[in-house]
Amino acid sequence: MEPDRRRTLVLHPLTQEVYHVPNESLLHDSNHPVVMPYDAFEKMGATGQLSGERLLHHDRAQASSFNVSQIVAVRLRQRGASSGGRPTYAWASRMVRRRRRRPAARARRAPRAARSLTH
Amino acid sequence: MMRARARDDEQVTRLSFKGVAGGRLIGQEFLWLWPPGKAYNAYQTRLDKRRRNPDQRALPIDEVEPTINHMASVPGAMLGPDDIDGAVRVPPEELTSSQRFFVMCIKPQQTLFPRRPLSDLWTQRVSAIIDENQMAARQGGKWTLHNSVQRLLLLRSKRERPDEDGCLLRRSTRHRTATATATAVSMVFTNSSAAQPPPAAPAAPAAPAAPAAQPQGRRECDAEQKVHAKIAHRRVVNRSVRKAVQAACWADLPEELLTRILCVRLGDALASPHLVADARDCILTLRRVSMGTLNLVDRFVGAQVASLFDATRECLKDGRSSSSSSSMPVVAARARALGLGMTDVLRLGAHRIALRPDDTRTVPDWRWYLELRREAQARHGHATLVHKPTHATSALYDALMQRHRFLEPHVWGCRFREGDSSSGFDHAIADELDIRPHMHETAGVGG
Repeated sequence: MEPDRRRTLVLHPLTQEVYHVPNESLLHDSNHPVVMPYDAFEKMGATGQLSGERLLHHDRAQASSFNVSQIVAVRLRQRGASSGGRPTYAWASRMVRRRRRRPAARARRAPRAARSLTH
Repeated sequence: MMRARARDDEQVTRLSFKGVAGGRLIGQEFLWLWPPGKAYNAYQTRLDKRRRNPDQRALPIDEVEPTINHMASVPGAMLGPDDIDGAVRVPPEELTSSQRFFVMCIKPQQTLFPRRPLSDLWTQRVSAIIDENQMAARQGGKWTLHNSVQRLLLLRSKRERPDEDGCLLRRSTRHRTATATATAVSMVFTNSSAAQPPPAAPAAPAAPAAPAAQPQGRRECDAEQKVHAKIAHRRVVNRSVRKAVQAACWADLPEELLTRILCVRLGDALASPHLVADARDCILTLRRVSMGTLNLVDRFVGAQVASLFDATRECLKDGRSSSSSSSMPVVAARARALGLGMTDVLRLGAHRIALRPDDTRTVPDWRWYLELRREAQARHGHATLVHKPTHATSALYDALMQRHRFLEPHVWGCRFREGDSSSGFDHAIADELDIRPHMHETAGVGG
């Protein structure tokens, strides 16, 4: 199947499986992502700290104010009668990882001892 | 043939790095859910702001109140796709390479309350400052908030930075084989930290450790010094003999067994959650022992890194590693265990060496792997290392409850009925502490 680049995906927090979220479950999606620097993304991804509010908090530290257009409402699955039949929602955000800066010149070079062994 | 293969590998590596990891903005398709409590708090804060400033216009998102009552489908974890209406699982094969790379960069979240990283030292700093201030207050000094903040800022500026292994490849000059063998033997058989320094010479009981530095006029001490020097020399000889015996035992082991021991030790060092210095010292020390060990270390480390590199490329291409039959999370976990980020893994193929001297197959250079790992460590510091609890939470809870019951039985003792196993009350401990009669008296049960 041809991969669709425009569909909305969400990651399972434990199994890392990818799920598709239909557009009918999204409200007020202005497609305005939080732009993350590469290092911050790598650090948060490596420590398991990626979540919507942390992304916005990071963006708020960069900018001065809280951007409401970066929030998407996601309709939740109904379970039992706790909601009284009304649809319930959670908030979510989108994120884009910024391009990484080029590695340092020293790192791009071959290690000193390795040059003699490289064919 | 060999050059063409190396060129192809290099081209694939370059394409992978630029096309997948470094060329585009990636990840916009993914949604990141807020925890319900924090979303509700932000919503209420926004409502309060609008109440105070009536001029502020309402936005569409203000009409959607996030629920706070929703229980996650996985207790203790964040909201996930199981909680979203209409979410459908997507097989990894249907994702693009960029999406697969993005997913592999992210560590699965185990809990809503992640452990603090080792670099997070604010509790120690605050405790130290409070202790200092209290001591100063007792001694008649002033204890002010301003003073505390100043000290925090001062400590922050002087905070230790993560270990910079600038001498990673400069220390590769060979030392004496005997020293390396002894260090390797102690490293392998005692299973101690690879970063341990080689054993120092035994300290002489008195000054004669450096007899040349003694003033010549003190002839009355010469005889005593010679005795001490002989004793120190005998200790050194004994230790050397002991090491030689250990080395001989090591060398007499069957080759297959010795290979397994060395590979297990190398694997432990590579997957060490500590600093890159552990892996570096283990590799360098074992390579100094002999040519056989050197070849073994090069092949083992090279094969490990090559396996990871190939599995990552296959996962990015097909969504699954066919050679190692591993899924994307498994391969990503392997990369994290070896101390590398996914971008670093894609850069592994930049420098390769032959697997064997007479072999055309090449593997990523282990020196390049150490260099990339050192870079990753310099970027993250200790952020990926977390505090680990020394006791089980249940044991801590039991100890706390026992303390409460012992100190305040009139408060805590009457809340649990005798024989109620679900309460978690340890009646044997109650008998041992002799608090049961008091409990019964307090509860009006009568013992």
